[in-house]
Amino acid sequence: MSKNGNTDARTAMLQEKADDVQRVLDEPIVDLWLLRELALTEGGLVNDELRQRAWPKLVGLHELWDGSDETLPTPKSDDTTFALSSQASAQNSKESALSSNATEDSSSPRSSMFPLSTSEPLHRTAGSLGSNKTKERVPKIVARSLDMEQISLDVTRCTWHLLTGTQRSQAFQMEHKRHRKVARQIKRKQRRLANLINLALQKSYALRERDINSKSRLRYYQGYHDVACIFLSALGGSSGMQTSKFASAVSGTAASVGLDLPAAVLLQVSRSHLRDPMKSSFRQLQTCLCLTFFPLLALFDRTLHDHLVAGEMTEPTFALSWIITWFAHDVRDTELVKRLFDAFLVSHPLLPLYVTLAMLTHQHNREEILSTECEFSSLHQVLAGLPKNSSAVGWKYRPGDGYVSDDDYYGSDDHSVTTCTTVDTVDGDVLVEDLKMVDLGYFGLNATSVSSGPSALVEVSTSSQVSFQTLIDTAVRYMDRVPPSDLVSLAKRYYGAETVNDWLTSDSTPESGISLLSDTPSWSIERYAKADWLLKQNSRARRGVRARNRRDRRKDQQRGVLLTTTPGRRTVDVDPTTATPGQFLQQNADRVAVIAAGYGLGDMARRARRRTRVRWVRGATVLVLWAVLYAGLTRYRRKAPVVTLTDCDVHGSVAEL
Amino acid sequence: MSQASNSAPYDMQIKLLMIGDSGVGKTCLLLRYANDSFSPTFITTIGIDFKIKNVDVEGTRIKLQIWDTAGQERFRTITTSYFRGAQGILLVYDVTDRRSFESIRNWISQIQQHADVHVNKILVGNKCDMLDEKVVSTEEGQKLASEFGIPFFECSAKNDIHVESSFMHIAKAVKDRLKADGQGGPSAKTGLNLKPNQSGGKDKKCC
Repeated sequence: MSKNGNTDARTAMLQEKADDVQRVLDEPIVDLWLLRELALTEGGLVNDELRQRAWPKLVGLHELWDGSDETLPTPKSDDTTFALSSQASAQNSKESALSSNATEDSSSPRSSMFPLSTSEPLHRTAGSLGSNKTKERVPKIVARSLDMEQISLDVTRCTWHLLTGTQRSQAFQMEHKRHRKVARQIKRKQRRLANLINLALQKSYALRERDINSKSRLRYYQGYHDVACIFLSALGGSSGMQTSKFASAVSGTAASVGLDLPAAVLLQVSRSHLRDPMKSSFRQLQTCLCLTFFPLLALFDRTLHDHLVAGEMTEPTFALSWIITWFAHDVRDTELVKRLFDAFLVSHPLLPLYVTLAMLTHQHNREEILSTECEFSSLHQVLAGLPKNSSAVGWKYRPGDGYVSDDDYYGSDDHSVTTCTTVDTVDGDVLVEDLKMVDLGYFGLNATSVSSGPSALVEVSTSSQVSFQTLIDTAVRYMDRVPPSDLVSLAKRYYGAETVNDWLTSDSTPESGISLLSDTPSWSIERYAKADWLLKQNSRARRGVRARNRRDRRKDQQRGVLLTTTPGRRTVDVDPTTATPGQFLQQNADRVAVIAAGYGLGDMARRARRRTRVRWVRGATVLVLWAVLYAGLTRYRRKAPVVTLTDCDVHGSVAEL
Repeated sequence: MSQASNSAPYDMQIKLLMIGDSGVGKTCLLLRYANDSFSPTFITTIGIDFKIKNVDVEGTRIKLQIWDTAGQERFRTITTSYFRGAQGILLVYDVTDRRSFESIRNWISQIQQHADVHVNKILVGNKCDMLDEKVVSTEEGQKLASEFGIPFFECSAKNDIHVESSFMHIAKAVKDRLKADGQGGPSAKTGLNLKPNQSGGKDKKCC
């Protein structure tokens, strides 16, 4: 009963939160800092519908739909990318070998008939996509990248997040008992995931066309597919929604299969937050983790630090997958992972590291670690299993083996049949499902609160003792104490300045520098973004096109009235900012979102500030004292000669007398 | 938590390491051996992980600690630091993937660089159930193994062919070697910690 009550309260809370997010997004000028704050607090951005609107804005993709609405292909977008990379692959023999492999990869020979650089046949598929029957015509390979082989290896092993979330409702399961159909659908989803990853990578090559053969390209790493999976699930799942609104909005194959939005967002994140693991090796990432992890742990929890060091733990390898996949690899509750992504997207790229520290130092986990024998393998096992204290969905505890994947709960090969309910992501049914699940309150911050899906089947009695929201809050608090900009000086105090300088200078070339310790992109601290509807309206106005139908026109009218009647909103085209981003950050350094973005003040600066203040006060006191003294002295001096004069006079007069 | 239940009395602890290209089935082999389970959709290993299996080899109770590594090349800087502590290494390739077989030489040179000189090795060709797609013949595998003077097994994690015997074979080889070196017995436990080797002292440069 009480559990039900909790769930109800939670659903109500999330509904309220959803309304809040919606309200922020509906404003003509979206306040991004407000949105970031909502992403960091309990519940995150709540559901995929809101994420689809918010995430692009949060990663600086404001003009995604601008100007392309209701038009035929803009020549600038995907088509050129395809052309470019196919050129590149022609030049590069290694790449052409890879692409030939890629054609083998797809089971149908038809894929080779889709020349990637032509947009004509692709458009036809885009147009015909509205009806489900023609989905077979969607090309199997949308994009190619240097790492296609590795990607296809990993993607075929990836099912969990492709199947969770909205697609796991037990009622639906009963209708899909036919194995083959399900297997086919899983395959299609895996292909979709591979396409998404390849597309994002391919787009990134085009961005760096000048040094196309250099080592600076984004490279795939194992774990990136887990990240991509979440973006696909949140942004690509309901292409139905996007296609209804932006049916002819974007060009190319990517758009035709609804991958353009997730690919664009993924690319932005790859170029900033995931830049280090995506370099040609993990060197920079490893240096960064070594440089930051132990000094921070020593600062926040000396006992724990000493315990790990005594267990000869010299590198935070156990947390590698947490940090490079944003917990997507270790947490199987897809909704929860998406919620974590909300927070990580709006924060400094090092927030996952701070969450890692928060996870270790959380009372419950801390006791578990400290009660573990001080030996490397035992420690590694306990540490690597910590995320399961926060979400046990998809794992089960087997005495003797520890946590094992829950998919063998269902027996062997055909576990997917019982777990998944497949909704074809290419057509638009998913949205309906999404909304249904919203009503059901399927958000699952706590594994226990979710009644549908796999958690109901999990035998583990351990509820999530360590909620991720607590961890995020703690992480932000830690970041408030030591913002990323202070990490190098902290490391210098821990390892000695010389060692740290050695590490840093060995990676000093601009391309090989540690991105996690460099400046964040400008979009991460932008203050405002225009609302989607405003962008649409503007582009329509620019082209002198009227809204498509009466409903849209009426909406525009209402909004127009709103715009003209709301004071201060008249000049929506102009950026309303007066303070520069830098000034804004300085003025708001104690806001949660600003701290999480890495612009908090930090203990060091605070101490310095306090010291300066003390110095000022001291200086001022000295000055005042000095002034008083001086004044006193001068008065005394001034008085003194008078006295002597008078004395003299007196003496003189006396003498005269 | 779980290791508490694994800390059954044993006479010897042996650390094994599984290496090989990505997707050859290292994790599958391990889970077949340790949990006797198989799923075609085992997830990608990121970083490093291990399982424990208690076995009895010729009357000696052995606690096998088997470390599973990520196959992608970029993880090599991380995984090679675990080579030093291993007493036995399983080199795994996929019989349906020639490239994974060809890179065995590369892996062997990695072992020569980073592992103990006396480490026991074994060559394992996985997925031998897929006869139609087999491209690396048994003879080729055998030839390579004898070139390096190491035992060779063809396994299938899916159909449970030779999985147990290959693990037992290397466990026995390591046990015999340690016994011969006089390192056997429970006291050996302390000296055999598998941990990333440090480049010495305070200078914890990890890469």
